[in-house]
Amino acid sequence: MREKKRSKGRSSGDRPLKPDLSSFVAPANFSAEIETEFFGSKLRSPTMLASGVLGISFDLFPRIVSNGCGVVVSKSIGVQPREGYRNPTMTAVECGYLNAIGLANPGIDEFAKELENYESKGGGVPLVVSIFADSAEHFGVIAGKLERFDFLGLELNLSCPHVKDVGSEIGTNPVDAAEVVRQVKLETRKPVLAKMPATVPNVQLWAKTVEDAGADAIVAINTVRAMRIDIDARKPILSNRIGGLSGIAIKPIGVRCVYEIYESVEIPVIGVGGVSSWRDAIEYFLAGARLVQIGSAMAASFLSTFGSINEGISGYLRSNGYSRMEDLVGLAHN
Amino acid sequence: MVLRTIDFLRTTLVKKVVQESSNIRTLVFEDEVSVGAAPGQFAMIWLPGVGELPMSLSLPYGARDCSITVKAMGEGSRALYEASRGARIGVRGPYGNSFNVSNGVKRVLLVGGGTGMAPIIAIANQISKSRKQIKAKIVIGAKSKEELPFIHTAKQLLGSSNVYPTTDDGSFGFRGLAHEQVLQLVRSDIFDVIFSCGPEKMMLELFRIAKQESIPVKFSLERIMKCGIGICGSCTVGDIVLCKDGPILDESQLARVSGEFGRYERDRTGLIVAK
Repeated sequence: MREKKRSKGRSSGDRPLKPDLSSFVAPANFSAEIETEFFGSKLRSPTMLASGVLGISFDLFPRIVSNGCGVVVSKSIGVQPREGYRNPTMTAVECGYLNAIGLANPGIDEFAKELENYESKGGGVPLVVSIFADSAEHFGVIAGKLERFDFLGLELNLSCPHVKDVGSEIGTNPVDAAEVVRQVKLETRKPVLAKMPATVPNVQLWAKTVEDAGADAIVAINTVRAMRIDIDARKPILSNRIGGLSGIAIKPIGVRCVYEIYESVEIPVIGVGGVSSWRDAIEYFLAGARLVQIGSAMAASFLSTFGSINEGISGYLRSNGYSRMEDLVGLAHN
Repeated sequence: MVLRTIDFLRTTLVKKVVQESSNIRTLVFEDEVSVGAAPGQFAMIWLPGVGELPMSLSLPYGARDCSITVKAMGEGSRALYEASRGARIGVRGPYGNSFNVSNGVKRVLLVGGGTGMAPIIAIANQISKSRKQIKAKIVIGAKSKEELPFIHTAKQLLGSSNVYPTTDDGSFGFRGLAHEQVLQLVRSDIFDVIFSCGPEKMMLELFRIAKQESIPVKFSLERIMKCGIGICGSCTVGDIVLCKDGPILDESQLARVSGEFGRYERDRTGLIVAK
């Protein structure tokens, strides 16, 4: 297995905070082979719940984790509350789903209250908070307001492809993405995960630039800008017309991006896009992903997805003679 | 990954509009996929150019029919209420769980308030055609006589003596709220389960009565829905995702989310607000 060298751009004082997960009870369906670690925190599964998926209610998070999910990523939080777009905000296509929810979120101040309330009741769920903004400065402001809380890391939504002037413009250009990372790194000691747009023309350059700016991990990919027109109504179905394509169609794109990023940087890569079975997860690990995120699969198999994937990964490891899932990371590059 | 037939949008035309009461209409349409829905399930109904709403599937007027029952409450429901025969709508679903009469259940109390009557009349319809000998009584609540929906249909399906209309103003039937009529009924009769759909405050009262009388319940709840398929989390109540775990919840689930049930809901930004 390729040696992971110490990542560049981080000084020795930059150790991320480790929340106390000891109060959290281990559910039955976990096995040792799939345990892994995330910036010093032990995870019971290499799976994460993707941002924008069920990440609204803190009451739901423990249930998601007890079903086998390793880390929950919250809904993307911005400076101001947003209602998002009118319905239809989601529709199925032949090969996945389109969504244009429109970054609906209660805004950082209300979110901080919910986070505070959650922590006062004991907290304990492995959590990454996703944030978005229209400028590097505002990304920094949000990160600053979250610093006093105890969670595993910040995921930067640099890549939401269907909100005008937010996300896709910041994310596609590596220089702009790097500036966001720098601003956020000034405000937080937590790990910073940069989530990459699917449409970045030069993935290796983007990844290296963002790593140099101090990102602690890269998440690839977000949804792909797409549209469906209903031929009887003769209109686009989504109220925002354009949405983000997720699901089975984008898995080959995600796998390709993870593969290219893994070749270019030392920092960990997290794969996302079309994961619904353990085979998809294994594919992403072999491409170079340390962890995988799951989203669209919730529609067909809901929370049982995590347990199935965990069991499948364990089964694959055992039948192929590997003792830990880390042994698989990047093997396809050999 | 499984791509499900129920997720693919179908468009169809409104085939018939039935005026159920002064302010409630049923839109009847055909949809091959939803025609197999169980009472209590819902569909996401698209009105092109206007919006998409979760609507409980209502009384199937004909063997090939589906329907939704609507009152003008907001922009989307008003547009649906005003839709005429020939209007094009989009349908995806059916989604969610259903009012299921378990084996051994013989005596059912149905309680519907306003447009909550949609899934209630659907289960009443199914019970009336069931080969199992199920005794059912139905309480139908509205503000006044003009607003009472499905009285005639309920009498045809279940028998006149089993229909208990209630009106706030006493202009027809029992004078008072639906739960007050239920209180009388549960004291004079035995029920194995209460099925209800309607204003959540009504169901909260019913919940308390049922708990006191030790009667199991199945209540259909409603929240803002966006994806309707268990992805976005907009319809979460406590740790329950309504479009996947519900919308019909039993007494243990309702107890678990008692902090929110009848009291709070999430708004379009995801913020918890008082109902």
